[in-house]
Amino acid sequence: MNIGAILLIMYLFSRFFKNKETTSPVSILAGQEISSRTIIVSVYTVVLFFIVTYTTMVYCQSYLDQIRSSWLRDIASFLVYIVIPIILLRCVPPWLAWRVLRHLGHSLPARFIFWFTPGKGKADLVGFGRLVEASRGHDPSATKPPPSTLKKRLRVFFMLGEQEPQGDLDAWAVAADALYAEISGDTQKAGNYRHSFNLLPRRSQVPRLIRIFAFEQFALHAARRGAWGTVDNCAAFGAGRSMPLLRLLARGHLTGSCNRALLVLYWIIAPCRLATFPYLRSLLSPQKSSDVQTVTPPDETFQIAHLRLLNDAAEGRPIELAQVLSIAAAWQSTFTSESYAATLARGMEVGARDSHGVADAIPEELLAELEELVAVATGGLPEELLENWEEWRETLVGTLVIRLRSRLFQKLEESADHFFDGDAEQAPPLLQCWDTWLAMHDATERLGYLMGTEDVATAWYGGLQITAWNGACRVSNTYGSKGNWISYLMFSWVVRVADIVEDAEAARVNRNNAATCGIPLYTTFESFLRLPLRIYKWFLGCLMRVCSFAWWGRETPRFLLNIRSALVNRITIVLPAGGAVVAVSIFLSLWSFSDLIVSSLMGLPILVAGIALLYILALRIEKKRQREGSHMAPEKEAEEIG
Amino acid sequence: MPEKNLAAENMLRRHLANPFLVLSLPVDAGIEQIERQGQKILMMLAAGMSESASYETPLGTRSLSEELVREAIAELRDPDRRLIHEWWARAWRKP
Repeated sequence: MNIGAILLIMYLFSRFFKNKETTSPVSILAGQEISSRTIIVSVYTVVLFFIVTYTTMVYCQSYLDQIRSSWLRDIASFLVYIVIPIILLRCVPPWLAWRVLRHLGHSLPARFIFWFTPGKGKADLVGFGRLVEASRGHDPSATKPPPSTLKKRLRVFFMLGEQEPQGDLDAWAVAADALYAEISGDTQKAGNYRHSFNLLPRRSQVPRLIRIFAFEQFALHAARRGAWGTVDNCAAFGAGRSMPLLRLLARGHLTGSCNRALLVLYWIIAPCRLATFPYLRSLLSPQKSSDVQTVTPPDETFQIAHLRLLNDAAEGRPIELAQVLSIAAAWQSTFTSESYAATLARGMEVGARDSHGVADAIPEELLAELEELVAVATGGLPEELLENWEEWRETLVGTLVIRLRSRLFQKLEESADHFFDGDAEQAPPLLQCWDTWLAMHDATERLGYLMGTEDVATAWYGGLQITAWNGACRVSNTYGSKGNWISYLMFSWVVRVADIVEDAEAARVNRNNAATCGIPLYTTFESFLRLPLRIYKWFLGCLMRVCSFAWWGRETPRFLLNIRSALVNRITIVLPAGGAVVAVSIFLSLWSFSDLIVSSLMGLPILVAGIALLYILALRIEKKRQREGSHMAPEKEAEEIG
Repeated sequence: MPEKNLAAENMLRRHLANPFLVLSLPVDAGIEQIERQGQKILMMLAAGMSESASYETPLGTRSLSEELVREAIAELRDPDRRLIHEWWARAWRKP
């Protein structure tokens, strides 16, 4: 406690009398950039950990003593005294901040409580603040009035962050903007922003709290709109207790059937029970009010089906491209030379002045309608059409596909023109860049999906390559670290398209460009290892610093720095060494818990096997990183196309 | 609610306001029959008779107004416009 008090006083001094806002005096001793918040939260966590452990020990010891088997008692003790307090310390602050304080409308206290979440950096604190603002219907990117001096000091003190309109555009910011767009009713924009997360490579990590909080909100808003397909997508990407429930609700509403017992169980486990209760009730009630699908009567003509499709499109319901094309094929049968002559004859009967003009205008009018339907339809072109394209080329369907193709090219060209429409001096806002890039990305993906790789290659070499490549470079070079997250996605997408159209040079250079963005890629296991790795690096830094002060009384000599660099950066050394440190710590802690493992001399083989396993894993990770080029490259400017 | 498509909505509205549907007449009706039917519906609307307040379309009944009836009569007076409406009305006829 005394150490905590001393650190707190040091922290207060550093906050009010130092220029650096995030560097603590401890950093000077440690030789590492450690923020004061890290120190305070660490002390608070350790103190609270012991309090919680002591309290549980008082209440649970008598119960644990009743377990006869010693190894079972040890495991239970480990769970009760170590694991449960860690989980509580990690989960309670965000839960309290989001589920209670934000829900009650107290955004500043919510951010304050979130501050105590261990393992969260400044980006998470600022991002959480944005998400809270967005969830309350406030624009997270809007310019705020300057805070009062006291408020400013409090913000600096608690690292609650300034919300500048030109702030970083990272995963938190995109999630917050998506949530704000959803609340404002701009569902298309919200969908586009949500789609950003699907563009991330498999190995990249979106902060888990975004997956829990933001995606739960997206799913709940989509459920309110009755968009159960969106709910299903959000639940698939999200994380946390509410996702299984939302997934089951979506499936239930989409298919009309679900496992009721499981649904009730998930509902009991999940948060937001009040918000999800109406959907649960609608599924459990005998007459389910599932999405009313348009039921096509069996004797319906294609003309009436055409009207029904127009009705669905007008209402914003999804329509299938194959269905539109089948109706177009059916219309073809009405445009024969006999029907043309009949129209002319009828024109003469009713006294029409321009029967030919009318007879020619009717197919055009129909085509315009079908074109509108095709533009909003989902799904791909039927296989049969692609296989026998020459037969279809001259028909109504062929004309429709050709018009669709030119419309897709036109849309792509327009969106590419708008992407990064400015220079370095008058660069557009970062969010606008992201909007225009998403439009270009969607247009290209749709072109590729409907028309195939050849058309993407045509667009690529017809100017898309230069726009996408150079635009991404400009975003990266103009905004620097603020735009790292989105420029990484842009470069990754350029690499993907370049691979598809077999543009090896573009793929190679942009793979390097993506690496300059400094977005780390982790597997779940690697991310789990991050905390011990950070502690290991910090420990190593301290050791070097102490050594150099003790032996030379001056700055750390180069050879020690080289050793440290090898120990920190060579993952084949980091993992086994870190693993050994952790394993030894665990064995030492287990000593007092149990004599079984240590006394049976099983510890040493387990330790050796564990280190060997970690070494193999490290080798695998290093090889994979080298192959994928996903290593952390040094900061440098992105390379534009010549 | 899903986002509405205005272009499709306008196209649908135009089809469902086909003069032959509005006036509940066959496509080969003469101009006198059209005028007579139009006046009859207008009078019924003015009298507030409930059976004249709606008309049948392929997608169910729609509400009828004086403007819609007058517009339908005017459309059918133009032979070129009538030819187009006839073509579409034949398509919307139930089998």
